[in-house]
Amino acid sequence: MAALDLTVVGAYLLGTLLLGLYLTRRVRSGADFFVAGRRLPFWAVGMSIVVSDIGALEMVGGTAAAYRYGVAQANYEWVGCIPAMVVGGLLFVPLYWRAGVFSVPEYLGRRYGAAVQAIQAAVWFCFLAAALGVFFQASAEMMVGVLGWPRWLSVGLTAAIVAVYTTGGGLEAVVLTDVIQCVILFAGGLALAGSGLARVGGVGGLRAALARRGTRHHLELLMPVGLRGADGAPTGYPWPGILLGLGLVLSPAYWIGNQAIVQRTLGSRDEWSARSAMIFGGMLKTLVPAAFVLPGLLGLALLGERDPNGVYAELIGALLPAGLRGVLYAAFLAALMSSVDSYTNSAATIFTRDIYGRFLAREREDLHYLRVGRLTSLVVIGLGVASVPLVARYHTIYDAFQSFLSLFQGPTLALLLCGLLWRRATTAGGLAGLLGGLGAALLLQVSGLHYLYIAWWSFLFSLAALVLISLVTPPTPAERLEGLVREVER
Amino acid sequence: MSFDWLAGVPLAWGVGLTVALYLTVLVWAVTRPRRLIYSGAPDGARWRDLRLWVVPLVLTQIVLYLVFR
Repeated sequence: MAALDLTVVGAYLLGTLLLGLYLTRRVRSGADFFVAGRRLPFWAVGMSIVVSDIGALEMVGGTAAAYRYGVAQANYEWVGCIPAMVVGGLLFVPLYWRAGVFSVPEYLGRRYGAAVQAIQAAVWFCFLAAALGVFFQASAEMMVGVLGWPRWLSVGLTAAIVAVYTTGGGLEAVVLTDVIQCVILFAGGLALAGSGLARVGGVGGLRAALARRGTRHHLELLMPVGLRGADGAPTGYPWPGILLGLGLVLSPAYWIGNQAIVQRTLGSRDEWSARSAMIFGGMLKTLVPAAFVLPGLLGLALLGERDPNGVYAELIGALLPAGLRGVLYAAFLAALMSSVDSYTNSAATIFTRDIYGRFLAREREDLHYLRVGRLTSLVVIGLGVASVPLVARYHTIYDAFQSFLSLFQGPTLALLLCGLLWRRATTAGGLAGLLGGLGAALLLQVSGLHYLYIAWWSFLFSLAALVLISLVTPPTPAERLEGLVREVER
Repeated sequence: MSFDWLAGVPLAWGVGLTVALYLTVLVWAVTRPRRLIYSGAPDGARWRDLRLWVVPLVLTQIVLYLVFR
């Protein structure tokens, strides 16, 4: 790494650490730690929810997928985000905000009872904690190749810095450091895409180069059903799956039901800011493919046949001068840190509020929960680092966790939609919808169905079970629904 | 359940349905009552009208799906 690149990376790490340390002084209560004292501006929350969604894995993996299949990879940022963000921002976020909850399981617990809260909290906590080890391990592998750093230097340095500002400054530190990370990520990604476009001769040159490579579908967002790649494997972008599974189920479940996303909006300074953060985030999402999908197309045009996973690193070396390369290296670290800090803070919130505070130690003083939240953050990061060797040997552990979580997406969306919009949904109906939808998802997964279709069918099954059981059980008393269900709009 | 039976349906249907999804979201958003759009806002400034944010956002998406088809 050139001295100039090292200076850029060092300045980024030092700046992040100093900002995090400064914000530590502002945390005096549980609300400060878990929801930033509800004082965050909309633009910071919007940038944070976008950057938390982009990890180092997505930078390399997204580029590799675009190299293999083309612009269809952008579906995960466009139809897989924007409609859900608009509806989430204008309809669902205000409902969470008015309910005054700290987490999604807390909302579901108040709406459907302790059993649903316990199941949701346990699943989310296990997934968030397990994901940290994978983030560290996978990112370290890439950093060995891209930065040339030893694995333990990458893991140790990022874990130490994230631990300092996450355990000290809570959500406010997470969100405001995410703002820096968002700027660096976009600056790095767009610099790479801009340099590549200039090299290939602009958009016209790119189109011509792709045509010369004999690609048929690289500039099509939606792909036919049954299309397979050069290796014979399905592309992963069949249009009914993209529209029904991704656009109508997985995306709303993520943007309405993901703790890491919802928690940020709950930290906004007022209800309007919570709402506008999602719309602003949607605007940023529109730009993401320019930074992380376009380089994949440029890689195919400029480099030709390659290992797709090596395209991003090769483009950095081929296109960027010293200094700008440093920005990209900092972007790698920023992508890792923004994901780790989000998952750490969310895992700590869920454990403290939905497991410890709900079932193990109720009615303690606020500072007690603040201490538990900080300690949990530290433990979760420690577990993430400690599990790196384990994850390196057993990739299937994370795969199993991810598959397990994906089974919950359809049922969770059904519970949230009915819980927020339908007063007749009952406690028994909620539990039946969750367990019934989960059972259906498990059966469909065993059958080998594509995960986009599993999401769609498990959502429908869960919805049917919830509605059916709710209609045959006594309605929930109106006073218990106060502030939890949308009132009729006039 | 895999929707393989849609293999014979022209891809243009997929594009059309995607655009229809965006248009539905757009119409729904711009018809939200002003009272709900400004709820919790510190003032009634014109730039805080989120319906005006949604229009270019969704129209940009529609253009992208029509260009890359």
